[in-house]
Amino acid sequence: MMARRRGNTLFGRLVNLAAALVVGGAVLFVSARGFGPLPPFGPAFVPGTGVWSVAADARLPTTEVLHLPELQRPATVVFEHLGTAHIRAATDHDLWLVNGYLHARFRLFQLDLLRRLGEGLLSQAVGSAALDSDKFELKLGLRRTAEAEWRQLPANDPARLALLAYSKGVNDGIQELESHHNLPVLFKLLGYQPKSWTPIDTLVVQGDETQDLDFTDTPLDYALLVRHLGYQRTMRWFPVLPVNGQHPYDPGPYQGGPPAPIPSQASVGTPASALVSVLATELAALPPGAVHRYGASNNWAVDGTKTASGKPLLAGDPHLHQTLPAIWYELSGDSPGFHFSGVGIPGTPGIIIGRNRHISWSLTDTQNQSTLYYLERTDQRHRYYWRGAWHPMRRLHYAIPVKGSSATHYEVDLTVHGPLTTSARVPGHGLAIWWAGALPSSDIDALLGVMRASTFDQFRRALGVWHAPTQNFIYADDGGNIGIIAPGYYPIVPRGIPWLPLPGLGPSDVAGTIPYGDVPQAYDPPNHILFSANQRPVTGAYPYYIGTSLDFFDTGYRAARIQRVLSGGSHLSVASMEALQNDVHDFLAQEIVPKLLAAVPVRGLTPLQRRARAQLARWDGGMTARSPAASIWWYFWQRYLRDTFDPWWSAAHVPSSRFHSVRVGSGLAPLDEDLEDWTLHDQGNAVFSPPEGPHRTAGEVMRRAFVEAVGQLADRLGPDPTTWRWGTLHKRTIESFAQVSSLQYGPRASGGDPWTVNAADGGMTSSAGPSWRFIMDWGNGRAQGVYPGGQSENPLSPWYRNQINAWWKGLYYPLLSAAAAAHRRGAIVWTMHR
Amino acid sequence: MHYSDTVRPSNETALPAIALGGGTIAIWIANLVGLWWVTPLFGFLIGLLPLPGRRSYAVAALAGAVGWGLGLLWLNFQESVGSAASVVAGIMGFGSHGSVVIVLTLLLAAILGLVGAWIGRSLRRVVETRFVDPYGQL
Repeated sequence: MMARRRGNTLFGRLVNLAAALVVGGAVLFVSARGFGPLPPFGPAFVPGTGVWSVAADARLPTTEVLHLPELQRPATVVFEHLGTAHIRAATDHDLWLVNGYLHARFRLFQLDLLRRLGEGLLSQAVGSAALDSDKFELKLGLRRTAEAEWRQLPANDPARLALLAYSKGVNDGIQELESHHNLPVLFKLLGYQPKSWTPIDTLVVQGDETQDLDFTDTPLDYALLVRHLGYQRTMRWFPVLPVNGQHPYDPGPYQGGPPAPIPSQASVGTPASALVSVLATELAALPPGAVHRYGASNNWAVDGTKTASGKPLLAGDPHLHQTLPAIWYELSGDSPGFHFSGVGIPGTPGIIIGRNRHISWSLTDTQNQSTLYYLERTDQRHRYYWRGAWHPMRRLHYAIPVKGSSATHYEVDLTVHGPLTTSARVPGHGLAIWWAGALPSSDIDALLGVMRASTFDQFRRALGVWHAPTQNFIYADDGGNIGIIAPGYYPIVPRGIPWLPLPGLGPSDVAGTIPYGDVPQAYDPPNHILFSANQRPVTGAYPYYIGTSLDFFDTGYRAARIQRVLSGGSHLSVASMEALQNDVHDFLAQEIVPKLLAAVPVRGLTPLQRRARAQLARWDGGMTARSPAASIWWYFWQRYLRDTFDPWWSAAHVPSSRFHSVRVGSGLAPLDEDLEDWTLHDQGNAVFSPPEGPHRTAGEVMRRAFVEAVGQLADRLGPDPTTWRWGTLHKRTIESFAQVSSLQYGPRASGGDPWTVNAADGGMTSSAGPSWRFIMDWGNGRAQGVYPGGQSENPLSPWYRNQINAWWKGLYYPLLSAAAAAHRRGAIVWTMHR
Repeated sequence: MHYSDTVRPSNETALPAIALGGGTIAIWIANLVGLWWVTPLFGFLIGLLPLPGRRSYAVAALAGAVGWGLGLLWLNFQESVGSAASVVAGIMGFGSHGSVVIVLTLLLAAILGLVGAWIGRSLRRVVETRFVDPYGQL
């Protein structure tokens, strides 16, 4: 009674009002603006326009008339039942405009995430968890490069016009989605709206892909290895030229001068070593894709002498992170200047892989060295010592907006070599990053030229302005020709050892690049086949240094398998190409298992080990999901690597627990190549005997590794080797692009390994591999393709992951023209007017 | 009987019922175009009304929840609200339990109505005390 009476006094009611205002105000504030990681609940969950629109937005398009204010002439888009879009436009401007509109309508969140990633603006959307990534991207300078590229484009340059039209299309799409309250669900949950798209955003997205393919930390790994193993041993185990042949597609003869001599001795001093640790730690914390890790992608072409039709066949399957939505968007385009079909990257106009009326092409990563590190002398006045004098560093100031907190201020110091990493532990020194991807590259111009080309000469000329990322562009045309060329920057360093941090004093500066006429290339070769699978593209006689065996080039096992199949084949057909793209035979296993069986005779084995050996004895090297032998092989090889090299790593105190990139395993490709070579040709190599340990041969180490592998598998999968299926151990996941686990596909039992043509990269739960499979048959002029995903990023859309099953089964869909697609059953047509 | 809570007997049920019905429809229509803040605004207005007892709270919370619930029901005639809720639940870390998202949405609506009513009712009671009952005796 007393309490009630107190509550009824003016004071009590004022207190009540104050409490209502404070608590109610807080609730309303959080509802309107969100707080920390909490979304703005009000607009996010309101039934009419909030997250619930994800269901309405998932509806497939219908045949209708749309109005795009910037269109010059009427245009149409035909959608196949799978979601593939076919644009028919009366002007080139309209082609790019509609291209941008489609990307916005079906992939807007992906577009925004891609540009935020490259521009260092992820924290603004997702909070401080992304701050390390943002700082690194600002340091690397994708946005700075994009701005420089944009400034360099002349007013009437075709790429400039395409970028402007494309941006208008994206913005038309954004406006429409906003006005219908249909922005993708993640915008609503994160509580922000996308800002307008600009041509610079497209160039940043281009930079993202360059970084994923071209930015490496290999010199840091070399520095760690040299520091602990010594230079001689490091270079013996991680040589410049691989110990296996690798089947280069450009066997010479080569032009150009003789290679510059490279000193055989080097050491990594204390300042460099400490800075390497700092930078390597920084890089290890970055999200997937920030540093190039996996050597993958295949492409090949055979001319008419080896095909059933008498005309060339071309196939390509770029291996990238497999995500939902995919990194690819499939479309065809018809306008006065262009007639193409294939796949492009959302955020950029046109296609990257595909065909036009006369030529077809596909890409793999060349994987030459594109990143160099320079040890700079610095002082406390923000200067660095270069060419005999002190120079001021250029200091850039950034304010990184962070969701739920105040902006973080960040400074980037630039030397003549690139952005600088410093550490308080190493005063007076810094490590600068020189990266080819930071230099302007006219990739859009190059791709526009490729899309228009009808001969290899035009194709080759168009790619002359492509500088990064260095790619192997394979080619086949309707005239019966095949070719390949790897355009890009190949930095030439006149002095010093480029695979280690270089002194930043001047003499080791990049002096230029390999002339375009000398970059790896081939045309209509006498053996009638061309292929690239990230192997070294040239022989040891090539007069320029282009990279080493340690994550610049791949092991060459995929290349060897492709070479074996194509060179042995005749009357090759589309079915042969399909079979090879989906091939899971492990070339290394086929080489090594006979040696293993010889080293592990039946006598002396336990019954379990005998049964395991019997699995291997009747195995053909196929890494299928059902194969028990595949499990035994893989476990054996990993044990064999570790039993051989771990004692050396331990004795040298290689910091492999801190830096996984130098841990013994198949991530260090040269160790696979070394062990392959010694097992096949040098079983008494001293490396098999541990330092200060008993003498061992390859056979003894193989026996030990086999016994250990069988024991591990029995512990994990039980005592019956027939049940040790590879798919029980090895999975594949198509991850969510936004890193939301509920939106991913899998993990699902999967065949393959990093060395199979149908590659599975990224460990026992693979997340990288063939991101698109493409085959062009010039015998009938038809192309086909498939990718593990779908055209829409909306998880509820029937086009979200509708191609995954076909991809998994090795099936393909035809790449139709717009006219052919319009006559297909279920075709949907948008007619577009101003 | 307190003055501020005094209404004629015929209004004791009629006014809350009218407010509930009108508010629900207003909230539902406003939500169709994204005006989520109409819910706390309605609660505020209800709080200003001299409804008996604490009925303003019940009316505001109920109108909010029912208004938003009707919105979801309306959507469900066109699309699957359950599927949308499952996607959102997955993104928010609730697994595939879409029902959690639906319950939280209705709870949010009720809370928005409640805080609006609380502010409105508190304001009304202060105003009444200051201008109608300057001695704070009511």
